[in-house]
Amino acid sequence: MVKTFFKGLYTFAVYVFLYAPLIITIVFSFNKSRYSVAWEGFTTQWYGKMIQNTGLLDSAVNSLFLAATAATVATVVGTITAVALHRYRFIGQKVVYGSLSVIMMSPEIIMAISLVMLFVILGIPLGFTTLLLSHTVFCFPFVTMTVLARLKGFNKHIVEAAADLGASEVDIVRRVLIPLLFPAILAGWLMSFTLSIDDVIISFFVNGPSYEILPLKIYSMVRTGVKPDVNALCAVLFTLTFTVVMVSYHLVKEKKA
Amino acid sequence: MTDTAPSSQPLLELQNVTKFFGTNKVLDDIDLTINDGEFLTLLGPSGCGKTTILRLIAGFERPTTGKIVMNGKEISHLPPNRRAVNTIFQQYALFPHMTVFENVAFGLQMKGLPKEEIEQEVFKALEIVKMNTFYTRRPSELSGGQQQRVAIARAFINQPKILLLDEPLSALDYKLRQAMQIELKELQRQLGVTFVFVTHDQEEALSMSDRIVVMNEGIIEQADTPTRIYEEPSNMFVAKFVGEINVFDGMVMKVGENDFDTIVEGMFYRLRKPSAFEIARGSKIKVLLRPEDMVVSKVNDPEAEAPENALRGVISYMVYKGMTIDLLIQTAGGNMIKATQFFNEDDPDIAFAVDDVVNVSWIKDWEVILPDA
Amino acid sequence: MLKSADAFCRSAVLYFIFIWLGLMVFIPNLLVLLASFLSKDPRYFLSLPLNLENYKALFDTVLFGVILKSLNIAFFTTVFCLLVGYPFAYFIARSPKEWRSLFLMLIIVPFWTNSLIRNYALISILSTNGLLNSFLLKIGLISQPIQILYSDWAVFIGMSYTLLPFMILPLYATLEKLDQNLLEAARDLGAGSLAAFFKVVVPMSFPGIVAGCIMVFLPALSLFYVSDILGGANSTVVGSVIRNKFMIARDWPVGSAISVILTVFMLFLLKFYYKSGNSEEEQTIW
Repeated sequence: MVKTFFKGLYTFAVYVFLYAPLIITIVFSFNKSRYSVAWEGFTTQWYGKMIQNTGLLDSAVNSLFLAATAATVATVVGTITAVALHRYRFIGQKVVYGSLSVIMMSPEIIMAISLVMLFVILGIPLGFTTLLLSHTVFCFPFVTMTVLARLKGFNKHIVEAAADLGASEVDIVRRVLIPLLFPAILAGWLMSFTLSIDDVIISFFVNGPSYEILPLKIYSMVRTGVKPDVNALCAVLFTLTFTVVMVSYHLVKEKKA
Repeated sequence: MTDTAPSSQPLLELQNVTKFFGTNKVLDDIDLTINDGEFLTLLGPSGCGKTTILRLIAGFERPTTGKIVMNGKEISHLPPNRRAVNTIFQQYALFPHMTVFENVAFGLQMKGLPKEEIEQEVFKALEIVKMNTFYTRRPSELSGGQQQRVAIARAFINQPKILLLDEPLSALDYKLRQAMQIELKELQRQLGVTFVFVTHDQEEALSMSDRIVVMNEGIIEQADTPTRIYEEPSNMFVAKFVGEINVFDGMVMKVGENDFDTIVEGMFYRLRKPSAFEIARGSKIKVLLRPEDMVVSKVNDPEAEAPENALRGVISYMVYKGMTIDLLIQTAGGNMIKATQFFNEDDPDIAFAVDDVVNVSWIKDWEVILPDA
Repeated sequence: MLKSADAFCRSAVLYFIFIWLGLMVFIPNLLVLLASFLSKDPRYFLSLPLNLENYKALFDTVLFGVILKSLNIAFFTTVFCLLVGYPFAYFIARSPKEWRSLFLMLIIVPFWTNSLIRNYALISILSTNGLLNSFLLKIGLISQPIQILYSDWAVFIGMSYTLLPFMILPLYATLEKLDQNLLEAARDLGAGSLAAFFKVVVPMSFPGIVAGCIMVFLPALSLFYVSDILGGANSTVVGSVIRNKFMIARDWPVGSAISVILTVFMLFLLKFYYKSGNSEEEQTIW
């Protein structure tokens, strides 16, 4: 009994640690004070300021758009890779596995400089395209791994059964694999979206002036001091993503049940 | 099959044990005594509570109410590492990160025995299960049967008072299972340790056990020797769960001193009175008969009357089994009777064919009478 | 006819994967390796001849000092994350099944707010008159506010905060797969709960420990924005050096040389990870 209590307390404490900055951001978005960390009364004025700050709003929309696009592309690429790794035996298979874990394990900064060198040498202007390509690269292995785990999870004769019943390769993918893999694909998309939203380092290197995204915009403001309207925006974004993800999560769960 | 009972010294007792998982009652007021040195089998369909009893004895679960007593001392609340009981798990649960040697040595290391002694004991144990040449291997490098042997050695090396076996043979193929049954029985005789064996395979239970506890839905239906379980099931569940059986409905017409008259399938029978319960005139009964106790004879002239104590039927299905032949016979009343006949080369009547008209009777006094619940 | 369509499908997919990986992973990494042996060029960034000067530059006293200090912070961050993350991962891996996905979800949720923003929020906790100091003063652990912000301590806290989930997730993945029967077997064979934990749970989760340590240690060397936001003037990490070489000094070769060292180090750790038992190629770390 005592043991259970301490386990619960410990788990709770870790969550407090992980959530403290978020809670503070949300609380301070309602703080009257402009600079101080002390509470000086409730206000919603920062939300008003935020709405007027079109540069900030644009960068937030850009961030969400980039994350959604990159997650979608990464999901397609990652799922194709997973299915290929599972279905086919080919030369270089180990190399593919190896590069997936290298991508997942490498510190972002290494991938960042390697990609920026590639883009500069190929003469691709830094901007949305380079951001999208880079985000796709560091997200898709997570999709592959999630989907692959699910593929290993179900009876491998399912695919053979489909083939035996006359399904072509395309039919197998469309009628059997995708429906079965849907939960994993969704989880992979979510993971990609999360990683893309959270990224700073790679975006910092491959981003150009033509496409401003939120973390970099804030980064440029850090030295001069971030105003509470940024807190307000973060609070809104957090609530938004939280709601969307929770709703979709529950929808999927119900569908499964 | 021997019925020689081992010592009747009680080693472990479950007293009024009830176990709930949440609101789900899995064991209902169980009383069970396990004697020193016996091979006891818990038999029942999945979900009957047999594995829960094993886990209670091992200490992985605590009884909701009731006591577990070993050698007169209550052990209900001792953790598993402080009980003189070891388990052979269903999927063996060998530690994949340790070698065969390290797996078998684990229990002795936990006891803090000196290194040389552990080494000696481990090799002795591996010798018994014929695995001493494999001691550097990892479990993943062993076949199912070999893993099984290691799991056995790992458990008995600790010299437990009771060895618990949770369907240990279920993962093996048929031939290996047969061989391991014999080895396990032999090992038990050699070690003299009490075995508590859980299975849903009645054949396994019948061939290995000194005593079988048949369970269903959290209660004990019957605890008895294999012979009595098979030949004198005390209720319909046991009768139907263990082996094949024919069940006839009967009506008691007249009760005598040692026998009674009844009508079965429209035929008149005089049967011996059962000892287990009182029989009353007009009450309904069940008459149970094993297929191998049925006597089938071919009728050459279908027009002739059936002899006394015989039912008339038609063979509707036949399965050749090598030493025996299994017949499914449809009676005039529409019921199906299962009958197993042994081949007798000298007996021409055994040459049955589908659609043959036959007379069916049974060896007198081999029937089991149960009340119709 | 049908057969050839399937074969076409197969080769199209495989070509796509190899071209994609080749272009986005192999060539870029080869570029870094190549650049680390070239000289810097004000116009084209890189120029011949091949040389080892960039690697020698790493042993320049200032740079070397920064690297050592960064290694130090990364090391303590990793230890802290492991000590805090392991019990946590263990508890949620052993919690009732229906709760686990929720617990896991709750670890992911903070990521939806960019880590830079969350680190910025840490300022109000760590500053001299911030929440942490007020709390410590209140419980009487300190008598006057201590300077945490803009020190290495703040960088350590920021790194630990940012990277803790990357320790928890791989640990959870291995611990969740741990067969409950093995723990019971250990208990059955006489192991107390502590002995069972250290003899069975810890060794079996070793791949998770290695994966978690890689995923904390290497980023802890490279998350330059954490040291930018929370650290003092001297709190630079290896990542800041690489960034400065690339974005300010326009010195690709030295920046690449540092990256190559980091990559070699990572490959070494990865090899260790694959050796640590779960050598199956498809082993997921999440």
